[in-house]
Amino acid sequence: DMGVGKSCLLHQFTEKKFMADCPHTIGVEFGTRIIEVSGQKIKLQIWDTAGQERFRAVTRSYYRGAAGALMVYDITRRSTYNHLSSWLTDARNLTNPNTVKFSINKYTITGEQYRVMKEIPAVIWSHMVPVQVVAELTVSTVGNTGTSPVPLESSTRTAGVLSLEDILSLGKTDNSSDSGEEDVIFLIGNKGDLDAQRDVTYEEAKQFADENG
Amino acid sequence: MLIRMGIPHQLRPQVWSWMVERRVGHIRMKLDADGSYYSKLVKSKDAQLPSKQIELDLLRTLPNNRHFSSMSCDGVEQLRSVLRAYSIHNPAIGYCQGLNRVAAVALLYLCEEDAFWCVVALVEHTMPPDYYSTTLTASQADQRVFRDLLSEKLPRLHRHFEAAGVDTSLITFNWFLCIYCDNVPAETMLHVWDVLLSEGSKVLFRFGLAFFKSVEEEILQLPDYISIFNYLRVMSHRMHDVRLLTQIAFQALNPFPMRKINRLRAIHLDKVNTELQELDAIRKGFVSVRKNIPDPDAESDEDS
Repeated sequence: DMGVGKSCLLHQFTEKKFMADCPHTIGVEFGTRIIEVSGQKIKLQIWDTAGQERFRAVTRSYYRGAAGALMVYDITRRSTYNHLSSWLTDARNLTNPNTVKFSINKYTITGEQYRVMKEIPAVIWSHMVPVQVVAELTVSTVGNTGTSPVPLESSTRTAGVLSLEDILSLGKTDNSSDSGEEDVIFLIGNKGDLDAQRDVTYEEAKQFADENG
Repeated sequence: MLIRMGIPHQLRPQVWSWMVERRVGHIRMKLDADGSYYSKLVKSKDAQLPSKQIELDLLRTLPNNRHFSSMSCDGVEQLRSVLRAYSIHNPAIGYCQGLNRVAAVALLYLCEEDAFWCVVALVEHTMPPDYYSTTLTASQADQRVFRDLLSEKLPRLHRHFEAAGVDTSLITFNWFLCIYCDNVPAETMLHVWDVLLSEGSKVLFRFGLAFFKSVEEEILQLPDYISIFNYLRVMSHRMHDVRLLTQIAFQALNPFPMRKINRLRAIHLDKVNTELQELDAIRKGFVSVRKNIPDPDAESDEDS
């Protein structure tokens, strides 16, 4: 949906920087980054689509040929979570006809947990331990909504960025070791820094992922 | 014709008002006989108002412009009013992303009420119908028209794009929908607006093609999809030479008959509509298949 932070996540991922005044996307944007997965360099192309409902007519023609999808919602706005199923329908319907596997990602933002996760990625993946990736829309978004800012430490920011990469790598690893035919969809509850205003609990998001997985 | 040479900065408010009035004067006479139409719209509290969507975009409109950079800016307040008023004025369109940028550019030179009429003039009396509607069909069709024109006017570039599998609509959709106000140098954008308000929507194609032509040789050097696409994403930033672009748009690219544009628009609009129906059919078919098996996410749409 609109304003959940899709472009911000993409910018984080490709530029490794947080973009405070991120303009909204018209149509489709695009980003690339080369990541290394088990010694192999993989060029990821990520398409970033406009969130407003009417742009679906335009963006869904770009679903074809996708190897996977990231579905993003805003943990502080329940409506964005409620719309996931309709986005999922489009994703399943218009991407690769093969089964779509579903995974929810919960990444708690402490440096320690991040370290643990990095050490045991395969286990996390195979057990589908949910990991929520946070993009750190801290001061700007919070400021915009008129509530008090929740400061994030710089270390957690970095962890958040890296975790997205890790998760994507995990997905790729799984893809190649597996049949290689399945598309992967990740669910991302964005704006983890606004945990105090959380409107969608991690548990229900996990349930959504499990039920659709 | 004179406007193609550019409107001096200080005259822009008057000239734009005049050009807007020329397009919507007759409508305004009808709707705004007592001069209170706009203020009534602003005060109206319509339940259908897409307030949330508008609020989400206010600071994402022209984030780098001092009039629109924070909620306390005068421009943001005016932008909110114009967008709310427009969505009530034209509920079939309501609020479409892109209109916020159009309205914001209008507000750079016009008072709030005139900016509202400028949006009316552009959306309803300059662009084809359904440009900003809920299906965006006309704006999608225009990207295909553009593609056809590209193949005719810049055939080498067109072949290069075809060979690399580059879909120019990824770039041009934004140019058209936001009327070149996104990522285009201000002087160039304002010049496009000058000419568009004066001459109509054909200008969108002229400048788009001029952009491509001005960097054609550079793009032809790029070997593959990724390098081309990364170039296209930022190429509009470099369109500083208004004179050169205008010269290309109005001389080098001629002839540019409106009759042809209209014909291509009709053909492509038809195709887009057909595809849309097909996609909807697939979607509906898929949903009904899924409804036959217990659908775990069926209830999560409740709040939408």
